[in-house]
Amino acid sequence: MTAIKQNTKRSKWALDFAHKNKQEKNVDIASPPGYTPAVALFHAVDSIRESDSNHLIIKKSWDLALGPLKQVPMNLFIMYMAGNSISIFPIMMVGMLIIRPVKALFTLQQTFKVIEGTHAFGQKFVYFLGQLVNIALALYKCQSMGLLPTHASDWLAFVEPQARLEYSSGGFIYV
Amino acid sequence: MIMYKSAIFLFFIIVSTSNKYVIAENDEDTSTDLYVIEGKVFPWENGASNGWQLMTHVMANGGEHYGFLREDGTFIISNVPSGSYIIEVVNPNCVYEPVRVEINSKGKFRARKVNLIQTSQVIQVPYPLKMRPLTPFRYFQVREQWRVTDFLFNPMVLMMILPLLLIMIIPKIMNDPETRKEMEQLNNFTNYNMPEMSEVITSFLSGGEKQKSKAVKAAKKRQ
Amino acid sequence: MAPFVRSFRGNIHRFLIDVQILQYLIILVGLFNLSLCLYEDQVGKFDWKQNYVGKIKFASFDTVSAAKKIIVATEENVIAALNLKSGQILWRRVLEKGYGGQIRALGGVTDGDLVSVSGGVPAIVRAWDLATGHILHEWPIAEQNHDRIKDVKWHIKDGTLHHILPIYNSAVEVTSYDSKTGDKLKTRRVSAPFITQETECVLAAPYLACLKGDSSLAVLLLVHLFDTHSQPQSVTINTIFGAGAQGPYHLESILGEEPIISISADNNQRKRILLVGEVPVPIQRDIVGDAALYVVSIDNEKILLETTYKNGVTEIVASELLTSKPMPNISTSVTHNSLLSPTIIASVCPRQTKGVTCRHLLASEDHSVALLQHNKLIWAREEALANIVAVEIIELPMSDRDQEIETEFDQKESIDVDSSWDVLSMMFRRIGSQLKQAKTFLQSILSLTPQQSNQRMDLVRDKFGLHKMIVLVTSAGKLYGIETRKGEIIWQLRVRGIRGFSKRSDAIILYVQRGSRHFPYPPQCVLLAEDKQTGEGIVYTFNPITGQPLDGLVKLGYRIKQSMLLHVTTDDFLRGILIFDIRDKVHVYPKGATAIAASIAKNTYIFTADQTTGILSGYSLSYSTSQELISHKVWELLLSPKNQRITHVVSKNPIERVHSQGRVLSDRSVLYKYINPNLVTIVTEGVGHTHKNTLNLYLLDVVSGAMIFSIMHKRVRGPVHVVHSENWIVYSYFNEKSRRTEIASLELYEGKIQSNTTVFSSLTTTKLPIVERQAFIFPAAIESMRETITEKGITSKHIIVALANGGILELPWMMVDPRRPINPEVREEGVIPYMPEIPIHMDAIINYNQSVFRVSGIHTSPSGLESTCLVFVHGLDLFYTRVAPSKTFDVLKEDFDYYLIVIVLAALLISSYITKKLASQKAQKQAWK
Repeated sequence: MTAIKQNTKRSKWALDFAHKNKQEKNVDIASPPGYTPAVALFHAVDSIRESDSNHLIIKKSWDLALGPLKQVPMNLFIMYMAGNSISIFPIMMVGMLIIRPVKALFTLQQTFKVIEGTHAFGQKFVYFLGQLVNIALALYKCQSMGLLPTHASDWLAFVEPQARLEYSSGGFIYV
Repeated sequence: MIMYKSAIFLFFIIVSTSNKYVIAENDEDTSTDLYVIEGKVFPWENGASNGWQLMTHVMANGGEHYGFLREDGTFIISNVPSGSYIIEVVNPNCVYEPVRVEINSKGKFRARKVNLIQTSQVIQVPYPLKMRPLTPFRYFQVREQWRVTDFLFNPMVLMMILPLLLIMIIPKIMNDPETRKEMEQLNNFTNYNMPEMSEVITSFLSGGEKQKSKAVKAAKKRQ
Repeated sequence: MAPFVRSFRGNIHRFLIDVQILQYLIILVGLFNLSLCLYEDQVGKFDWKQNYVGKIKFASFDTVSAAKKIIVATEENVIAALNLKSGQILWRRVLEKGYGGQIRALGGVTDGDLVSVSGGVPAIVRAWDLATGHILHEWPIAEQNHDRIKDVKWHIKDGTLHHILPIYNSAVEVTSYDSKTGDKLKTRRVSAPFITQETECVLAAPYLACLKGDSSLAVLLLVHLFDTHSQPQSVTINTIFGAGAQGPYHLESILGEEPIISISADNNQRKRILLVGEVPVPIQRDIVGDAALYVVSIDNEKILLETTYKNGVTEIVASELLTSKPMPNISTSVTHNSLLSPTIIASVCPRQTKGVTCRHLLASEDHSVALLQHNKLIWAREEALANIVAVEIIELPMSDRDQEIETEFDQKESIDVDSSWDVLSMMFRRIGSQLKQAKTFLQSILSLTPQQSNQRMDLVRDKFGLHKMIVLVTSAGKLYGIETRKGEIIWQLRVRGIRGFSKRSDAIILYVQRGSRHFPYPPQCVLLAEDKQTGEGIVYTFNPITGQPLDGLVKLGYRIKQSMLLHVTTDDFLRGILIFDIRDKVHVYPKGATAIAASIAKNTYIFTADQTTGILSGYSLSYSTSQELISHKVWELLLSPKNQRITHVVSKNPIERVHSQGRVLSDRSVLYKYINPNLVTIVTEGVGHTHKNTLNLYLLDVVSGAMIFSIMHKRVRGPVHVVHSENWIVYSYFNEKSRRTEIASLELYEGKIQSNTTVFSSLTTTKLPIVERQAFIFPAAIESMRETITEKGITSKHIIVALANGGILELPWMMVDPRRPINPEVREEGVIPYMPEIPIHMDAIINYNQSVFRVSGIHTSPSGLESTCLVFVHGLDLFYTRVAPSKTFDVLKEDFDYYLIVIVLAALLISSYITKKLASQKAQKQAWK
């Protein structure tokens, strides 16, 4: 690690001059055709950042934070596969879809314990958001499968029978 | 749809004509003559145990008139005024098809198949009735026996076995070098060059910061 | 990967679809297999059947056939042969129901053939094979006089049937037929100008004895029926009785082979006998008025048998007819439970090597039949059970041991004292009861004599509440307690001097006032009937488990118009009954329940339906004070009395509970049921405007008198059967237009919102319900219908339908659901598309080949299992079984494969262990590599 660091430092030093040159040139001379400064900048920045360890950590944490969002297409695919019929496998799939993000949300603090840095809050937020999206997806799936008790019929079993107020009896007269 | 409607219409016509027919019959029905319905009941071939005649009787219109079997299976239902009668054979062991017997006011008999839905449809059967058993009654369910095939073709079992097979077979396929190559190709194909999301965000966020700071620095320098 | 995945996905999808189709198939199969689905090896396991013949009308001993038997013809239109030794039915022929099958004469048994005359006008003569019960010949008698059939006398002798009809003021017409072929042999007219409509005539073949006048100058005229030239002989009453006999006189023909008549005088205080012959011989001996007489001949000697019954002792005194010499070797006296004022209806006294042994067939007042040989009762048949008027199914009490546990936890003193001492005493009690349990257990193991118990050991409640007691009230006024496991009669109880309510076709009302759950109070049932003499109401309470009378017979002193069982209990868990007398006064029985009855009187209503006037009236008890209940008429309704007649008033079963308050539609919204507990279905039948039979059905709220719904069916006639339950009504009728039986169903819904979610009040609900209706063709004639009932009402409802062909069908209500869609695309959950005809599935016939005939009613009762409903069918036969409309979901099937599941579990356990081992070994090996 330290070797790499030194290396980068050295190269930084070595390239310092050329850099300045470039920047100055940028100001004065028109760019050659086909050259877009943004890309160049991007590449240049990229090459610089890549060598930054801090950057790497941040990148890895972003990877983590974006994980749930990346799962979304996969989840969509699974949902599509599962179909809308209610049988054991689709139910299991939907169950997984719901349980995983919920679990992840509960262990949010633990997951982000190792992560520090300026972006920690943002990453947490994005992660949280991603899991929420996943939950929403799962809920949507439940809804489309008819598993959510959103209709009156879902509460029918809990409707108490009406109490009887008047009592009556009778029939044909006996005599 | 039109067909359907016309069918219904036709049906109504049939029904209404049949009504008329019945009404006419009822209006004619002034004679008090009584008739006798005759016929013969046949036992189930191998089930002709002793006393099947005792277990069997013939019923007109659900019990308005009864006929009892002689030893040879013949029966008569006496004291029947003219009209329409459904003749059923009551036997606890065999199913017999009921027959509708119509006696008009002149004492003419006509026997036909019972069709409760299309009451006007007439399929004549010979009149001195011959009641043959259709099939023995099957009152009981057959007990399920545990069979391997039942077990294997059970959807649940199939659903368990299929993934198992997949798990077992896919690694085997993967081991094959050719398919592996194919798969790799596929992977390469799908693995198109897209900058990673995290990269973009990281660089965007941190880059923005750096740029900002640099810009500030630059501004300071200019000052 | 993608194509592979796609194909895989496709496969899975197709597979899932397949699974769906499979599921649908399973559901479909389930739908058509909704019935109990008995297995063949379950025959007789849950069900039993008992055959009866009914009250004996004619009987004779068959002494000519090889197998001795008794031939009987009964009031239930049954001709049967009974085994002489056991009383079992050898063969039984059930004739037409009601008037059309009424047996008018039975004879020819002594000649070796059996001829019966049955039916109205014209009567049908049937000759039967004595041994097998096959019919030999059948022919109708050409009868001219429709209204005189009652006066016709029949005489069957030597293969000839004589049809004897007195023609007023002129003669007696005797028409003779060949009893086999029906050929008219001869018609004679014997002049008898004295016969008028009031003349009392009895047949003492070959004579017709007629009594003219009823003062002391009355004359007995004897007409010889087969001698056209003979003049009627006349015997004055004075020559029979001597001077001083008071009218009215009553003429009776004495049963037996001989032409003998008895004349009773002095208001049936005494009797005298007259031997009818060429020279009539009066016997100068007084016979007690209530003695039943029979003349049997032994070796050409006529023996008179006088049967008297006093304090449970039946005495048969035999004497020589002519000399009045007593014959003590034939006279007997018997004390037996199943005899109650018996009369000899058939008797034979064959001379055997060791002397004369007489066999008497005795028919008791309570319809039971018994065979008496010498002085021993050989067998008795409880024929009263062929005519049941009221049924209740009652839970059995707990076993002694359970009762002990109950008392242990039901100690009242433990509530107020709360100290360690009490805990200690509780513990002692517990230890004590457990010691007792251990003792009984040990005793049962060591097969020692069990401790004395006040009940039969097996008459206790079982785990699932399937073992119950059926309490039956018969039209003869005899009560029975039958346990449900085997159909054994546990107790029988005679209530003398009562009769059913005449206007309700001899109905006797039976209420369960207290069930057997309230130990230590005994269960109590109450009977409401009429006094035989006065017609005033009587109340009779008894214990339905033991058959012990509780308060005895209580004469009310007023006539009962209606009655009602209260829904609240007194402190000792007794439900009082309200009795509504003919003057609209309300009485409470027992008196102790008056306070509690008055407290709920505000919300109590009674309605009455008068069949003769067509008036329906509703009464409120809200004006009652705490001392007295006062009824007040609140509404009245007249249902077209001229040409329509109220035939059915059907309320819901008061113990019914409805679990689901609505119905889920295809869009998952709820259609709420209109469950009005005060809704009553009223059916009127009659002739409509165009002289066609019509049927009207009204749904009436009997609290408010509001007409909820009414429907009219034109060209429709009975028999009508109505089932009213939950929010639906199912009724059957005969459609004259299409000449088929149809079942129509109505279903009531409140709509998509419930107007009041907590209480239902008939007085505040003004919105009329939505009525769904549909009719179906039913391919069989229906004798009776009843819905199944379960404890909590969770189980789906089936309708038990008794068919005319002897089958009992379990018809899922789903099949007659009025919401069955005609357009099959609109599908709701659990609704099958409409088909006009309801199929009768063979495996839905719950009594398989045990046909039951002449079903008069079906009684259903919940069991302790929510899934299971007990069904009791009565009529000529009794049949009991249990049904599980939604299958037995709350109990393992009895054929559950315990072994299989144990084997599978064990195999899984073992295999998992083995694989674990193997896996660890493999891992080890790999680690070494």
